[in-house]
Amino acid sequence: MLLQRGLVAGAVVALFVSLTAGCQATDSAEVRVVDAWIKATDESMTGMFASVENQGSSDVTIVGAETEVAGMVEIHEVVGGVMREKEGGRAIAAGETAVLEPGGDHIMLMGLNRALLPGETITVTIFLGGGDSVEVAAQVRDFAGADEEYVPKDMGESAEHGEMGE
Amino acid sequence: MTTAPRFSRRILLGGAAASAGLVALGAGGQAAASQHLVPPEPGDGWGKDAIVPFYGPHQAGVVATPASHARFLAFDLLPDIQPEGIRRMLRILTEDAARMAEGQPPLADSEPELAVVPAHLSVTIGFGPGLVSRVGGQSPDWLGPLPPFSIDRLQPELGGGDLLLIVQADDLVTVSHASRVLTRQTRSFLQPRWNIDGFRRAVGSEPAGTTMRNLFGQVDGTASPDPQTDGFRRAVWGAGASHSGPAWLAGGTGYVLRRIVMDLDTWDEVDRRDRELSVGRHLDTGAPLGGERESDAPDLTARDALGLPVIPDFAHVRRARAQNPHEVIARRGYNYELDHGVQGEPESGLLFEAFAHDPQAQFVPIQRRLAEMDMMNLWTTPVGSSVFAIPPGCEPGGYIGDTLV
Repeated sequence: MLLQRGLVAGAVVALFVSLTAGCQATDSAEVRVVDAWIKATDESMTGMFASVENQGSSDVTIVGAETEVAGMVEIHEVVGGVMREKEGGRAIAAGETAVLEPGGDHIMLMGLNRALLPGETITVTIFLGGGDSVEVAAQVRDFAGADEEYVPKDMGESAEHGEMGE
Repeated sequence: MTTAPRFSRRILLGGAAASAGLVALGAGGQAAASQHLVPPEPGDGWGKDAIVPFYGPHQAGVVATPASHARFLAFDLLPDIQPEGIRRMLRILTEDAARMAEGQPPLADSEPELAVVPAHLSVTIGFGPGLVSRVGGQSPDWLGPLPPFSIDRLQPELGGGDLLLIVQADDLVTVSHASRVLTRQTRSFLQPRWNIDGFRRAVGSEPAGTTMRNLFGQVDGTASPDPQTDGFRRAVWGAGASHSGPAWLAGGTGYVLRRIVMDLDTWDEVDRRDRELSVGRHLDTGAPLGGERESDAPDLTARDALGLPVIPDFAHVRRARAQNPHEVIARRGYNYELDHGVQGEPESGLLFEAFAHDPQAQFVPIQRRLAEMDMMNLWTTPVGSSVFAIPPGCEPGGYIGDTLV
């Protein structure tokens, strides 16, 4: 698992070199988000994926996110094929890259108020704790995976996440 | 549902190509295998460094050196797709093609490791009349089926379509992966119509710029203008042409793809001299009969000691030759082999491609002459025919077709 993640991270760093329209990088302080995409859906929830690179000298944590197409957003992990909220968010050590990918940690958009169509771009604000946030343009893509069973744990806590950050 | 046979044919073809490669390796000898099969080093222009830049005023695949492999994929738009959806689709196709051209995995690629060897990957996007009308655009008057020719035995399901992708690369894994990515990323918009694989010599197996040989063994495509010349720019982009198509197609061109079955069995019965007379060229050098070099202009007036034309009246080069400057086309070709062709039997042939800013004016007169009389008609049969508009290229941030929709 760790090895797999390392390989993907390597590929993503290579992507960094030449950024095209599809993989806009977004800077906030010293956090860069590249290759953000969202799984297309006409249902009520879906996943968002990206590589989040912490180029700074101190650790950051993805504590939540917000977008106008979703009523609620959570940071999720997948454990044993089951998806659940990740306690405390997704920490990224200084100099590290968090690869948010299907089957792993990701950003869960819930309570979608409309279908998300392949090829459209959705603006998502990612909250990094300490009042920092980063705005990301994520392209919607058809994707057959990322179908893990979702087991809601505590909806009350999730709602709080949505309000942190700003 | 025709998806299953289409898919299996692609699998079969891939298998055929792979086994052909194995046979060639075996024939090449053990010594060659042990001495020369060294992975290329970075920087030698192969594999990871073999990048055809995607962005620019023209689509890169039109002017790029033909690759070792090409996959032609035609699609029809799903009935409910509106112009806004076509815009989203073209953005996806453009961005994925651009990234893969640089060896970068596209978004949502579940096999990103397959994307890192571009091997001169180019993806050319073409529009059929159905797509242009779906967005309410103006079609050039030539965008539609060619007029019927007496030699045609066309199967409608082997031609046409709303959208064409030409995926070219020097590596078949790269072609496969790029085709897979582009197909699955657009399945909300498109349904497959037909596809076919073509091949030329493996990259590096002969000097760059060598004219290809078709499966009859003929040098094929000598007369096509070089992309660096004004002749090419006039023929393909319409530079300096007296008339022009719709504005959205400026910097683009017209495209004809003909799937031409070549009957290798009856060709086997023809001796070398008659083969040369049929095409009007020497088989070994590709020089026109009476000439010495491939690049020599055919002397159509030359007569032999008996007073007969050195290049016969029925010879392909005589019939195909442009009669005036308006008939110049840029042509390209890929060989193909199928285990199950239109007759349900093995089929070999040529995927003939013509690039012309006005195929009706430039290509149709040539094809008409060939249909009337060309000895090669004895052994060749067109079974598929398609015409597409190849829109111009785009800049980063734009997308192919952004001049139309």
